[in-house]
Amino acid sequence: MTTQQWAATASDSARRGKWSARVAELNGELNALLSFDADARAPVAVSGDGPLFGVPFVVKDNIAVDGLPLTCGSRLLADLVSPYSATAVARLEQAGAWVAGKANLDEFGMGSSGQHSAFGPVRNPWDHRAVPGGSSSGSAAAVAAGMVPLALGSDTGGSVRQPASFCGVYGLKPTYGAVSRFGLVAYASSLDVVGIIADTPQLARAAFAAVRGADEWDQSSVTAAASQPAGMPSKVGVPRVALAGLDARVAEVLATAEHQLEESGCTVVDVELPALEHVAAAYYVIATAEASANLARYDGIRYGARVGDGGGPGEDAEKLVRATRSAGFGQEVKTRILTGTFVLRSGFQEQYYQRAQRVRTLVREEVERELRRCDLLLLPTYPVPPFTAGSTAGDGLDELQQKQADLFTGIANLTGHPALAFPVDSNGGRPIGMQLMGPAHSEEQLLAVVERLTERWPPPRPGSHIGEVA
Amino acid sequence: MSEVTHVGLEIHVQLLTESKVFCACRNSYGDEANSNVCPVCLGYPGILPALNEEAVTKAYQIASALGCTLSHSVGFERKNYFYPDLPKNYQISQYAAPLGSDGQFLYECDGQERRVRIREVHLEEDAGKMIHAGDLSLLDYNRAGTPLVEVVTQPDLRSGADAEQLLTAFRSLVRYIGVCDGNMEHGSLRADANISVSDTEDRLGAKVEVKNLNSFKFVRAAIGFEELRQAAELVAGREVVSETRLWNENRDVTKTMRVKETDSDYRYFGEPDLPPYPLAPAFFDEVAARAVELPLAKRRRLAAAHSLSDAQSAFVTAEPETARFFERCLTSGADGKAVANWLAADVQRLLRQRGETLGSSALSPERLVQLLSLVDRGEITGKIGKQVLQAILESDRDPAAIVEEDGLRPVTDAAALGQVLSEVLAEHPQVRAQLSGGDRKPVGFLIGKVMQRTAGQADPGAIRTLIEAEVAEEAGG
Amino acid sequence: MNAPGAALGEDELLTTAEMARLALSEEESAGLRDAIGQMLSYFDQMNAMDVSGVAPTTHAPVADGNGEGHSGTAPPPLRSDTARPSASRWARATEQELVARAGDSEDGFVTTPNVL
Repeated sequence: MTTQQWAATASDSARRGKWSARVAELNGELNALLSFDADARAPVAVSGDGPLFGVPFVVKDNIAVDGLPLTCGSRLLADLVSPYSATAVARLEQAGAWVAGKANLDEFGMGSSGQHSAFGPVRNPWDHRAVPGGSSSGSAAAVAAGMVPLALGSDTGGSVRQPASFCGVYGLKPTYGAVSRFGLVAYASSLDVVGIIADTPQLARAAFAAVRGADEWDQSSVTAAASQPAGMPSKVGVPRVALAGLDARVAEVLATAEHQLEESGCTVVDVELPALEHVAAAYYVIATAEASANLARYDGIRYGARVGDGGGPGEDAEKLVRATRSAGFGQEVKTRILTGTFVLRSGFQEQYYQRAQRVRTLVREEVERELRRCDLLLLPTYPVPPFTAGSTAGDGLDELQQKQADLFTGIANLTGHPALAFPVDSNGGRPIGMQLMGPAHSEEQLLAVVERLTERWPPPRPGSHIGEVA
Repeated sequence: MSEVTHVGLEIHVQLLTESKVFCACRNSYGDEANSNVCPVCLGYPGILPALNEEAVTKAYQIASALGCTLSHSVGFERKNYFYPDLPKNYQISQYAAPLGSDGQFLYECDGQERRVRIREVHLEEDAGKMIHAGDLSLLDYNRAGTPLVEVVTQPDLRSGADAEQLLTAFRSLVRYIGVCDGNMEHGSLRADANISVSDTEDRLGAKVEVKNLNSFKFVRAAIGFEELRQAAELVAGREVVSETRLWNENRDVTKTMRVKETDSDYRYFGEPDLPPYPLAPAFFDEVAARAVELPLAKRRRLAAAHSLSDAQSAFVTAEPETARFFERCLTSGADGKAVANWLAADVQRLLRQRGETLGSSALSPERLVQLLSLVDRGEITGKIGKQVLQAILESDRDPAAIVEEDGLRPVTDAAALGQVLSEVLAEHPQVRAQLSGGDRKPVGFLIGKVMQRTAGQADPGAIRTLIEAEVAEEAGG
Repeated sequence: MNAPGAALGEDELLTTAEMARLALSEEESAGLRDAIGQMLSYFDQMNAMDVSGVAPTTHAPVADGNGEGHSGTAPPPLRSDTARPSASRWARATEQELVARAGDSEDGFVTTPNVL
């Protein structure tokens, strides 16, 4: 559906009713959305101001929307209603788009399977047995299923791009700082970015244009001049050596993407990224370390549910804090908080945290070196296709394997560069996406290239789809 | 065995800013509980710190006044520990690169210059306040996020008295710069003390930190207590335990503060929400432009220029308000020594009686200068001058008007004074006899009596002249 | 890879959990010890990389593709020192409404069981 078609649906209560019913039906299968309200914030007119006028979007539930819950997929914040809106949300609203609901996610953004939400797992619209990816699982599944054309997600180590690829949609991880993090619940602050998931690269571009730019409430945000896309890049690099051992189906789709780029006039060259091997380790050390501090504030004292507050003698504040946190966080979150606490401890910090920071420097230097040799880098988003949920048997991955598999996405978070995941092939039922990574603030260029590829090789659509509701 | 005591201070300075250090909530003492809070200073999910430029500027003003090496960018670390008054359960502080390092604090005490080395000056956020009430603890987050500068000295002090003197001088310094009100009762200025007693000069003993010192008196007392306690341990052949202790102001003792081992590992790491912010040359120009003459320099300059005594120069320069007042008197042409005399004695006494300060009182430098000049020109006596001073404070009028309206001009009229003198002499025939015998001793007594009878309005010079005339007449007659 | 849990002793796990204010049930702690131990062993593979003389990246990188800093990018200026109440900024909630969100409050104070 086009922007105008969405505006027409949004401003017509009868159409909204039909759309809403269909969303509810699909969501029963997918569990992509934690809340959906087709009426509350819908525009009354069929046309109005802003490049995104009338476009409904859903917001990953770790991004604040004034007056809506901000659960972060956690029991601990199940009842928290946000008293403010994230800058990215406010800017999309200023551009005419409107919030239709909050999307399910792996608790606090921690996970790459969509299976770690306190509010139940999210299913892949292409194949309900497959994971939708994570942690922006609900955002990607909702867009893939056509519930909404646009969603905000967050990407700390691939959390926008990996579910976008698993669900066959577009997922943009902007340059670190290009979009304000104000209102994004922090997982790992030096890696987190607010990302965009959309059903077309055009819509992703319009949404990015609306949200980008420095924000007085985020000191790590920057304003950069919008890059002018200069047609197709001449040289795209692929880190061939590092890709040995890639799943055969993913390798095949990578070859397809290379072929498409060459068909479009690019030269594909080999590049060296030896540090790629250490990306996932360095990424998890830094991410868990920062997370251990970021999640310390959830103590049940100022907001959120309290556990163990009988108020009687023998009670004390520390017990309350311990009981609240122990009951409130899920296993994966606890694993990461404990790992992060450990790697920062005196006596261990040098070995883990500080080493990871040095590895981060080397990774950045390698990427910057290769981006001087070629215009963009082409990488798989994930080394395997969407895997089967709830089992480590067959094509399932255990938690550690899932983490190790974050290397292709984690690299852009460690270096701060922008990357765009795009659908290439549906692999007979489970989509496989690739990603393009470019210099800082080259989002326009990435989107322009992918737009060209999409025009020529349109990606397919999943079985679970809302269809045309306009 | 003789023990050597080393004391270092960690001085916490709350900055006088309009808003908090990382959010736009009001930075204000004494407001209703939790009336200056927002999602940022309550540690809500998704919020980020937005650094207050004025807080940074004021912190650099302190570091600069202490002659520190100034950092060219300002970055922060997270100090991780759980406490209910700390909304994020980490404190944003500086660790790896404090904004100021390796400075010194020079001040004068008992006529001697003191120098204490400053290890570092860093900026951080204050925590909230907690009140314990039975089974409950009450939390007020108004103070959470107040900009706080921590000044860490080297262990260059030797005693509680030393520490108290340093703090007195330091309080004066921050008030001069205008970055802190120095109010210890309100906690605007607080200190922790590190005390180590060693049985040899060569090395420091175990470091004992004493927290919770919110008055100069407590600082002095707590250090004194620790000195004795630690020395006694050494004398008894025991080891002094390196620990944190709390001052108990009700019992005048320090007590071990239970700190879990797991809570003393702060797991510092760079605050990712505040990338090191490069400060432009214009920022440093602003810091330099705000520099003022510091108390020590001012004291030395004024003492030399106006031959002030140690006590006078100390008094005149201790408070920036007094110093400003003094200097405005000077620009109006007053005699510095005389102004210092008046300020340090009568003015101070009357203000204290009235519970006022120079700034809040009706006494302006212009009025004091006028008053002094009236006395100097002999238009009123010194004694009347004091009356006039009191009248200024009471009725907010100019000295000249008071003299006029209250009829305080000295009685110089010889006839009127002669009349009074005759009365006095008549009442004291033995004095007359002494004078007649050439004894001049009773002259002062007579002047005093005449003054008394004229309510201080008589001009003593005029009385003396009259007495001399009387004596001459007796001798001649 | 090391045997699961080899990298993390029981005591270390408990100490770490205490720092993080997490109480672990016995069955939970066995699983967490395995999971964290596996992660730590995995982290050890970084030891294969020579990082001597390499400066740590302590904050998110702000360099551009040429490693020379963003050209034409600017962080927001520092905040100017003006006080505004919570509800006059981006938040809709007043101070009182925020305090009311606490699990327990009394006379404007947020309350907790006694802090020892």
